[in-house]
Amino acid sequence: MDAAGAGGGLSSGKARAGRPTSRMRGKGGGGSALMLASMLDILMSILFFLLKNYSAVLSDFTMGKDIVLPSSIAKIPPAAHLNLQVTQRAIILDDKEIVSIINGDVDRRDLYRDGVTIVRLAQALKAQKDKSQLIQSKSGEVQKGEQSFTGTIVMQADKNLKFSLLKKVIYTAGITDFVMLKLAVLKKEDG
Amino acid sequence: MASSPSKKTHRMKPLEGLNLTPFIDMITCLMFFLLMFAGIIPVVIIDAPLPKVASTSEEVKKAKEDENRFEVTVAIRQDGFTVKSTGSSDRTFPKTAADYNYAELRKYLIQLHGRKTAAREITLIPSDDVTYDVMVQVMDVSRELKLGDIGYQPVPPEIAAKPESMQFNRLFPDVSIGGI
Repeated sequence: MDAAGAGGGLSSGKARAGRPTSRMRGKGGGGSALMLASMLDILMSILFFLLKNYSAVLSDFTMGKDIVLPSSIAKIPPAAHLNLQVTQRAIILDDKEIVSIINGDVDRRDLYRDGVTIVRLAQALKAQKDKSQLIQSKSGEVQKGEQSFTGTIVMQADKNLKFSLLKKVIYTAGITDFVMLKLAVLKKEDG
Repeated sequence: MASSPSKKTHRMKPLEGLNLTPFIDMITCLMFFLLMFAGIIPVVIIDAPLPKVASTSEEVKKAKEDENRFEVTVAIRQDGFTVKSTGSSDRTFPKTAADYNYAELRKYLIQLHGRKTAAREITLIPSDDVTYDVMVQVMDVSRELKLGDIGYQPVPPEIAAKPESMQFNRLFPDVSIGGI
């Protein structure tokens, strides 16, 4: 954008030697106008940058609090699926705390007799599955005989958690038909 | 007879310059909106489907037919890795003083992949005391080739930004978590 064309011409331009005439003073030759053109250029550049990158980062993915995700060279952007968070303190399903974690593991009382299934998590996942299937059948998205439920779940887990806890979570997800596990990780910049 | 209008009386007032204020207001609002709602979350996803249990007779039959396929498993323990693969003896990579020996594991996996380039699957079997971070690092080592690795192919610039580029330099991209 031309600076002179957007306000810059008010104070400069027809400068002549000698005393300014009354007409020149009346046109505002005495005060300096705000130079908006350069600021506008900067704003436009930032705007174009943001608009160009908007689609790349647009996501309704919500990152859990109190979680330090591990870094990875993965490149697939996150998509909207059932969100399971495993923090140092609790297991959270769609922003609702399901089970507390004490000393890096689930309390034995929250486990089924097999020692692996987390009962309340299994119930919550089953409810989510039923809800998803009901919505799909009501909306008529599913054809007869077609598999409606994909069982996709995104797990955000703290990088310092032990596999002894994670395997209980993954196993519980597996027995409730959430087998398409997706792990949320932080993108490592250098690849 | 009326005289023709003089140029002086009908002189147009010159434009005082474009009023940019509403335009700047609009751009500022747009910028705030974009910055707020497109918060740059550097989160990405690793696909790690659970190993499927053959439940129907057809699936059991198919699994038996697939017995000849190339299988690679990496056992992750506190003291290092052990790689098992079809047609090879087990190979152990002990932990060094600083960290796990990811570099040697990577070299060996590239070597294995060279034997059967069509192989895509790898299974990780972590022990209970292994952290999630170590699991993710092993997944990274297993999934793709890096610049300088044997078999690395540069991605053509015309598809570099497209999803097709993800098909290049794959090692064992289908990672499953076992031992559950």
